[in-house]
Amino acid sequence: MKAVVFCEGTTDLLMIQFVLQYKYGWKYDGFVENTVSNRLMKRILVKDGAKIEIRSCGGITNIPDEMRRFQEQMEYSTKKEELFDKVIILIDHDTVDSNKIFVDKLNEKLQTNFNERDINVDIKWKTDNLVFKEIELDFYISCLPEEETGAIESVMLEALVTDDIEENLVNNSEKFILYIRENQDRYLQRKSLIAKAVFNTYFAIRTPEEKCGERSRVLRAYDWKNNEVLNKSFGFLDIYDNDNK
Amino acid sequence: MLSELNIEKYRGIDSLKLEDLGRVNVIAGENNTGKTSILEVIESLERPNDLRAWRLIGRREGNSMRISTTSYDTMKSLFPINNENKKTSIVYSGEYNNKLFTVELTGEFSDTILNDEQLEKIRGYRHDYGTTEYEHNEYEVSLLDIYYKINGENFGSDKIYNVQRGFATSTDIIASIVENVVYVSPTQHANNSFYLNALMTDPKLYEQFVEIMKEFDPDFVSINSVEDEMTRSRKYVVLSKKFNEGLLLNAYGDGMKKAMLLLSALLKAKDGILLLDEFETAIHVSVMGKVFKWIIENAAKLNVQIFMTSHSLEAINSVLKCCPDMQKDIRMITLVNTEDGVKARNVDALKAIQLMDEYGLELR
Repeated sequence: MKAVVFCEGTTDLLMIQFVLQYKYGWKYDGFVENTVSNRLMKRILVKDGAKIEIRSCGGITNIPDEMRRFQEQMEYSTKKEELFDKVIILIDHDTVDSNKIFVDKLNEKLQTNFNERDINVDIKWKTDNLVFKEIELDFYISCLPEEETGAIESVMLEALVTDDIEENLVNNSEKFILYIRENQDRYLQRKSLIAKAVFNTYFAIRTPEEKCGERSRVLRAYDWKNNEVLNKSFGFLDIYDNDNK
Repeated sequence: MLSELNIEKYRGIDSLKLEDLGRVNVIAGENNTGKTSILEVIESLERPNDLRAWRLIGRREGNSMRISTTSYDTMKSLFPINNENKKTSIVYSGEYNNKLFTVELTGEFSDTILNDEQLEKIRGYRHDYGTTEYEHNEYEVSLLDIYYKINGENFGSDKIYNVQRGFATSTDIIASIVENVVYVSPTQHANNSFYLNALMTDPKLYEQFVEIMKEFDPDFVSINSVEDEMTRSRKYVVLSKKFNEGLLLNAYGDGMKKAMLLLSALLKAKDGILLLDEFETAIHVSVMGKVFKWIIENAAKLNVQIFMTSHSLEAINSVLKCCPDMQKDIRMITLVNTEDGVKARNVDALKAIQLMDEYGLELR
């Protein structure tokens, strides 16, 4: 089985990687960086013959273009091993209308007919191939959080709250950020940005001296397998099928 | 130029369409996808109703000293495989220099009885026919009748028995679709078979040829045709500053000989088609760029269309990237075995490079 996950940015990529590795048992198998900007482009994980690529697109507005490139890659593939079985797109729930806007742009690029009801459900995507005529892939557009506006960071923070101290830390971080938001109108104009600011504030307090390495250590130490919040929100990443490697 | 080729039935190929062919066409694909078959069909366009030409085309696989195939076996192998009918066809068509063409060879297989005299005649044994006394034996033999049709018009027929060694063709008029086709096999350079006469009569191209030979031997001076005083035969001798006297061409390495063969074959194929089977054989990766650049740039000047097969990613990469100005004229054709038969992905060099470098797709 071969799958690809398209996400907005590097933080999303790293979080997805953590979930796959520490919750679903995938193994890290390398990365690809943009040689000019040093931006992390994709990470590859493997599990018993299966392979998943996590591709960071540098912003939600770039995801439809990256999907069009992926569609072209599928169109010109001539080997079965070059084809993918499943495509997942992971986006923030930016605003009330953001899902419709995103789906419309996706349809424009891919010449498809997806709509908002196709978000957070398993669907099929048929696309052309020069040699095999038509191929069908499993397709899943995940919008987090599902019900309310926010960002993936909101879900991650909810998962990290394991005791009163952590809960207070998150709540106070949120209060601080909301205070900033309410007293000016230049920054933090979207709920997703507020969620990211709360996330970064929490980690700035948790790991004031070192950012990335310490956060990784903290994230690795959690009991990911039995975390109910992650079970609910990231169940769409449980894609490994023993019978269909 | 050949702009389109449709092979409906030939050997194991069943309905393969190649469109948008370019000045240079690189053909790749896994084993048994039909790469060499495509070259064979194109080669036949020079003499599609000439049994001798078909025999040479088909005999390529049986060049081993230990394996000898009869003309009957050779011709039989060209017709579609898995055919249980007594009547079968080779059919292909296309467009060359804006003219449509179709070629159809119909093969009828039958069994017949020959007596001693007939058998010996077919086998080519010379006797005083009519005076020799024969025993009255009968022999069951297989016969293949071939009928040629070019552009819907009959162009002769031939008979081949499975017991005959040589063959005689009854075709008087050759219906040529392409006037000049030159085929270069993967190992032809090792047999010291070159087309140096064409090279030695063009001063500009000869000068460029010398520059390329210097990539192999920096002390290379020239190649000359000399007559052996004793035997009166002609041989090629290479002059190099490294040696006190000229060396016979066959003393040089395969790489240099292959480059020499490719360059000279291009000249021989002027205003026609050049077929290079596994073109990268014996050429080291360090000189590929220069050799291929010369070939491709001069193909346009000499009005030569090239079809080349390859298994080598380095060679394909080199051909696609050696002439940035000509990438629109270079086609990358990848043959793929699918459930519906062999299919072709045909893209220009620019697209092929994107597929390879950006998407990581396999071109072979």
